Amino acid sequence: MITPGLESEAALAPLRAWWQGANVPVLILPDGLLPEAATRLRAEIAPRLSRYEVADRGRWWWDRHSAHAELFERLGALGSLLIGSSLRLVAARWLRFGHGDYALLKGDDGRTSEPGVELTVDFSEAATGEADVVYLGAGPGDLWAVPQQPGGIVLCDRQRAPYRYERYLTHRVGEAEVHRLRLTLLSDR
Amino acid sequence: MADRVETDPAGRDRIRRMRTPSANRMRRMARWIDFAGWDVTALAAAWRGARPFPHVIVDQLLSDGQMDELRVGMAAEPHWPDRGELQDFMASGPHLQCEILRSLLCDLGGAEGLECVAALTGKGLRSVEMRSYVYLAGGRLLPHADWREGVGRQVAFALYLSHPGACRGGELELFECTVENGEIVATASAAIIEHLPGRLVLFDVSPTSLHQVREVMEGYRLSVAGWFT
Repeated sequence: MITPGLESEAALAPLRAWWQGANVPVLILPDGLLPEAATRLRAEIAPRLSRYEVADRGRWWWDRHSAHAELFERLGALGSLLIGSSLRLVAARWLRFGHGDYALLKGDDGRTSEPGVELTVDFSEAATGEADVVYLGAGPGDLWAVPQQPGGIVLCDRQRAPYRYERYLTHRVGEAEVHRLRLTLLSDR
Repeated sequence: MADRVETDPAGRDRIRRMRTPSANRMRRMARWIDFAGWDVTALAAAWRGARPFPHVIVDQLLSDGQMDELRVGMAAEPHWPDRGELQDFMASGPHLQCEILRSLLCDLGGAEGLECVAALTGKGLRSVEMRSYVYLAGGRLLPHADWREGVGRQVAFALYLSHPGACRGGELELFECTVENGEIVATASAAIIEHLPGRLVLFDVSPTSLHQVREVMEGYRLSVAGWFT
């Protein structure tokens, strides 16, 4: 499911070193999920999604209950290797956005003051050119916009970027849909 | 002495009502809006009875010639892209530069305008602020309430200036909110208001007066909007 070689110490050690020293809370691993795995996930999750609509929080389709043991374990291990400490999974969200959908700051349920990482996997079929995930810090100028990229794995230190919204999808995306798996992983104590 | 536009320390245009010491006060005649022609009694009843929250629509506020003139004013007014969590549009600065738009602001914030809006809303109003907005295709303003602690906004307004047929989408949508323990927990679309040229919409500002400008699908949408405080 994960791109071969990505989970090796040789691949992750330089990323870990860079991220720990960088002044950005977000790390992007492009092409981390294999396209065929993404296709399977979209098919598996589709019948389990339900609609969420609260206008001042957001509009999307989601599943908060389905588990995928192998994928969750491997992503959790990936996160642990990258931040250099053991992580436990506390929440998983399967999300789908289409034209007219969005998630606002008020709809962010991943906010936490505990150490850990928010890991998001994009299992969309294509890039839409929209639907950026925008993380915000406490200070002016603390804004990190993560483009929507199929197969991308994004890790974010939510202690340093406590606010998140996901941009509205305009009519330009047509029938395209954005699929995301979002894991909240907190440090074991 | 005529009411005049002044800029407050925050850079926002405010109408200052100038009064002469004479008992026979000279009131500035409204240039754009015939407030004397408003049926305030009927508008007040419409305001009180509106759902999901108080609002009122005044149509055909301006002549075609006046709208053309205001569009010229908008074209002369600098606008900047404003893209964020909720919004994607072009907006003027808080300090309007074009005399045409400033004179419209004087109408709204002059003695007659404030008294008229105060009478139909039942609120004590002292001033008005306004900006100019251009929404292009894809532009929108996602659901939100205009209320801010300590800012004093009481009545929001929007005056639509698009050319007929210039835009598909861009409607003003009002939401019914379900509140539990002070938090909005559910919403439902309750009213969709077309942005017809020359239409003025006034609506209540509260923590639950949730509304949005729906996405512009095609064309462009012109408006001026702001708040009475």
